[in-house]
Amino acid sequence: MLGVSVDSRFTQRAWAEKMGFNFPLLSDFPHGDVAQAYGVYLPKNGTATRATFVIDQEGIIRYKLVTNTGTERDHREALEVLRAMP
Amino acid sequence: MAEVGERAPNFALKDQAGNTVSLSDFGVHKKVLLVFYVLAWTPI
Repeated sequence: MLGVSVDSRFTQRAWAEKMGFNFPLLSDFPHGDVAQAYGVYLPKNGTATRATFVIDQEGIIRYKLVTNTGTERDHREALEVLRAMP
Repeated sequence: MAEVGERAPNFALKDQAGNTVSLSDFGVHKKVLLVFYVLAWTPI
């Protein structure tokens, strides 16, 4: 699992420590270039929206879920897709 | 816009420890759950 946001890596570190996250939080700082490449950047906000991608072993996108910033994500489908992959 | 069935755009970004993580290195022969979120300190 990889997390991505426009936060600086110092913010990411503080948050990861506080929350006990043991996966990489990547800093897409300052312009959200990766979010833009994935089409999930919100120019008005200057941030990514909430978006989840499942990428297979060959680097192909197998699942995508994009929700607006105020809606909680349901990751069950993404996890099912992950489990169903070899 | 990255769509299902397409190749995931590669990237290389720093993680919270200052290590550079690229999709091509991290994801080789692995499944990847890539989660974009709005800002730290908000619900993922």
